Amino acid sequence: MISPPIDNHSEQSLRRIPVIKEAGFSVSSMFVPIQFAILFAVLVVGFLLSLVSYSSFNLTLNDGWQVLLNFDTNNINHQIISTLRLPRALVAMMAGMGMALAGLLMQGITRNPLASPSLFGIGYGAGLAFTLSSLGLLPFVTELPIVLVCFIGALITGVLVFFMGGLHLSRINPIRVVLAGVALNFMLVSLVRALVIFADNGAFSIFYWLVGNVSNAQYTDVDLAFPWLILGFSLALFISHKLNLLALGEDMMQSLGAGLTHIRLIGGFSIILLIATSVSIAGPISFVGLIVPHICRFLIGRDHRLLVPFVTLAGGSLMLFADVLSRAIDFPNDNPIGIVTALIGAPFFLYLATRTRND
Amino acid sequence: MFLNKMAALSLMLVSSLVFAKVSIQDEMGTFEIDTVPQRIVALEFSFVDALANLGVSPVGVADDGKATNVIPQIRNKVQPWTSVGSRYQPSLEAIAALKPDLIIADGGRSAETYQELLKIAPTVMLKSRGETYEENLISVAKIGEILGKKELINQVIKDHHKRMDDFAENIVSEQRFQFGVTNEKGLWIHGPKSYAGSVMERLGLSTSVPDERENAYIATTLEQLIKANPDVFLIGKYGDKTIIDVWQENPLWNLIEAVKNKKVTEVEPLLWSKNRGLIAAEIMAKELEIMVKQVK
Amino acid sequence: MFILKTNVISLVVLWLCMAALSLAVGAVSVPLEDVVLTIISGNPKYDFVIMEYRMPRLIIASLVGCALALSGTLVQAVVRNPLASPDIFGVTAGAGLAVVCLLAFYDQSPHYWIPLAALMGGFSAAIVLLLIIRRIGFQPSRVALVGLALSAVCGSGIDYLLSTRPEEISGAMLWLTGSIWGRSWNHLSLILPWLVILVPIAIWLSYRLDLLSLGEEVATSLGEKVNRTQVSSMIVAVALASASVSVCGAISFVGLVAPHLARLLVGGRHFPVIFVAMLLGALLVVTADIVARTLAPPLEFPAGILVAMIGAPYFILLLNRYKSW
Repeated sequence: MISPPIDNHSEQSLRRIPVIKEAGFSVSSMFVPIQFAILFAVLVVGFLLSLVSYSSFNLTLNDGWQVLLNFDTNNINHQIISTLRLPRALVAMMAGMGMALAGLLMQGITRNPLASPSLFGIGYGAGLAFTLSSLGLLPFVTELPIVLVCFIGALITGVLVFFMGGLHLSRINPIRVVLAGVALNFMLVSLVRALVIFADNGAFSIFYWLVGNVSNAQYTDVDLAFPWLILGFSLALFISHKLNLLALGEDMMQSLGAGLTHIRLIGGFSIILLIATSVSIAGPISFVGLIVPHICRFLIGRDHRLLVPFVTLAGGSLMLFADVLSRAIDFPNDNPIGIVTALIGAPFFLYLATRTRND
Repeated sequence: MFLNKMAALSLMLVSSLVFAKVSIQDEMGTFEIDTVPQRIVALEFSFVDALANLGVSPVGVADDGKATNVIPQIRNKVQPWTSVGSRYQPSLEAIAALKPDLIIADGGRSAETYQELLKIAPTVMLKSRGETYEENLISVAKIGEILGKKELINQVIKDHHKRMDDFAENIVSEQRFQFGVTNEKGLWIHGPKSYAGSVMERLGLSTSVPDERENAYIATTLEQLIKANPDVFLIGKYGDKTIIDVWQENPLWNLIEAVKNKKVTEVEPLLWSKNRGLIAAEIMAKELEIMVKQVK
Repeated sequence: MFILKTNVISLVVLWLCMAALSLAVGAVSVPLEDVVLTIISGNPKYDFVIMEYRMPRLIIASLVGCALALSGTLVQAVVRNPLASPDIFGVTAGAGLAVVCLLAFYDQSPHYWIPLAALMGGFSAAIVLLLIIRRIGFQPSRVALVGLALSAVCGSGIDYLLSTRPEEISGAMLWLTGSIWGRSWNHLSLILPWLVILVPIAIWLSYRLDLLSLGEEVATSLGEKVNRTQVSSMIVAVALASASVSVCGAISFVGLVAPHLARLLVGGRHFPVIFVAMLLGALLVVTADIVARTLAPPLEFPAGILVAMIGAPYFILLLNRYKSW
């Protein structure tokens, strides 16, 4: 492999590397804006559907429009859309964005297309915090809103995995990282399950949250999640072109002095942040982080500079449609959104597993 | 009243003298016993209620480690018992150490360990978890029979029905009642198939979700709650902060009939959900009566 | 050989200590002399507690621990991946799905149907896996992946069923976590025959697995029929895991941890690893069961949780020693 000299000039010339094309993908740069436009339209449609569909109250798009223009506080439909549906749609979208982006970053950093956010047990770290808190076993946090408790739980778990896996060292052993995550995951899952059993009568309420749920989303959730999502997104974008380089091989990255450790630190921090955000507002949603990056890579190629925004939009769309489905399946009863993503995602994962080339 | 008590007492004496072999149908088939059990272990709260009504104290109860899980009105009627652990995994050792001569077990939870329990003592499997009001009465009657107090339990049940009918007369209401449990993350309303729901139906009250005949507990969002629109809303809180606190901030909350009529009340989830039985049902009825009678 | 001998002896001694402890403690404390007396000659006071309750629990816990550890060893050998555990073939999840389906759709079923359902579920998942592998070719990492996906599918099925039947959640969770509560002599027939048949087969495979660990090309060049070994090991692993899961529910962590620890103690050759792993597995499950019974008597915790709680931190401590696989 050729080793270009390490200086700013070569960094810039590397930036001009065209979109990496894989054999079999015929993505030309002309289609990209069109694809983004289509995806954005899909997102909007999903959002609108999520706002008004499948309600016992016969909400219409017109109601949605009126909420923006001519909000009438005495109109039930307007109130429902504005106080119940809107935060719910926003939370679903943001959780989807966070998880999808986290998945993309994980797959980029570990260079394993089948890495997923649920692998590290961060979701269950939040779950443990949630369970302990709702059972009254954490007396010192009763004043805090539950979403914050979950967030802190997730952050602590993420940091634990980070250090236990030795990601702070210069020479990391990827197996050690995953082992740390898996072991911690086992422990947390067991603990949470034990608490669910003990909760007995409260068991199903905890369970509902554990499978991923946006039914009772509130604006406080949106307020909490928004800044962190932006931060995570920005960080992801910041390291996106470096992730492209990483895809060429770790040794190449080292020789370019492109700061492998930096990428891992920033990327790791972003991943933890994104997952913590999603999990605290919607519970551990499975499969979104695994599947969405795959589909997006198929559609738009492997350039992370494009993938980061694309995956974000796609993750949001998926969750919005899942939200619609979660009401549609058993109308007028609500199913937890995580069940829908699991029922769609798991077979798709199986399909992927049987098709995947050795990459 | 006194005459009734004398009648009951004499019936009890007579029936315990002349004890023939008792044979009843339980969840496992036919259960037979030919002596009056003296040391009884109960593996669910509803059985303790039944025993309390018969004036019998169990020697052991699976109370999830806390005797206070059984409501005081029941505890006051029986002697203190030894805990045998949790309801989902009672300690077979602890049960054996008590040397019981009858174990009343929940068919839903203990089916796997039926053989093990049989090694310790004669075991009767009755329905408890997920039971409705009517099903509970059947179990109570069976327990009475097993203890050789068939006449007594029939009398007790008859008295109970009379009291419930009295309550029903006083609680005449066209309004729709709804009970639910809530925590920080959600609300689960108990439909007509749940115990609380079936008690309310017994009292002639209508529920706000009459079409829900499948599931006992239904996860409910604020949107669905507004649609159900109960006239009287009883909330069992698990924890200090619940989602109701959040929903109360929402202007839509005031659209619910129960809120408008100021008929939103907190009730004890332990009573309304965990402890099931005659005593519990009557206390629930009393609370409902108070609620209905309250002037706006 | 020496290292193996010392390790085996010390582990057996440790197991005996734990066994004695498990027979002595619980909701009812039995002094050790009485324990011995009851075993030898019988004692009406403690007969039930020791012989009907604690002894079968001890034996079953040990056997399940052995089976899971052995299963894990084989799985890790076949997949050549240290984070493989018996779950990855979808066995645990398939068994879980079968049990939850049984509980959900036919909850008046006789109690002995549950282990049968678990066994069938585990085997069905494995068969589906094998069918898929047939189409895509046997490559260890692919197998692990497909197994993982299969677990995920079963897991989502379980979640869906539980979310629509909230009353079943506690019972299902209990089974999914794994518990030795209520297991007795009749459960022995669910696990002992499997071990009796499969342990010798595993030993026979151990030499071949050693060759396999050198890499597939090297093994083939040494005359080893790679595919056959891999598939047979997989079948043995699945059978052991299914049997264990049918008896005690999903106590999976043992299959991940025990082989690792064994390798740390006696090195990489499979023959010693198998024995040491089995002993470690038995030790782990028995210890977990003791703690489960004695943390807060008469409350009993599911042993599966304790296995993870004991095993995971120790495992994580080991990670510092992790240089390479």
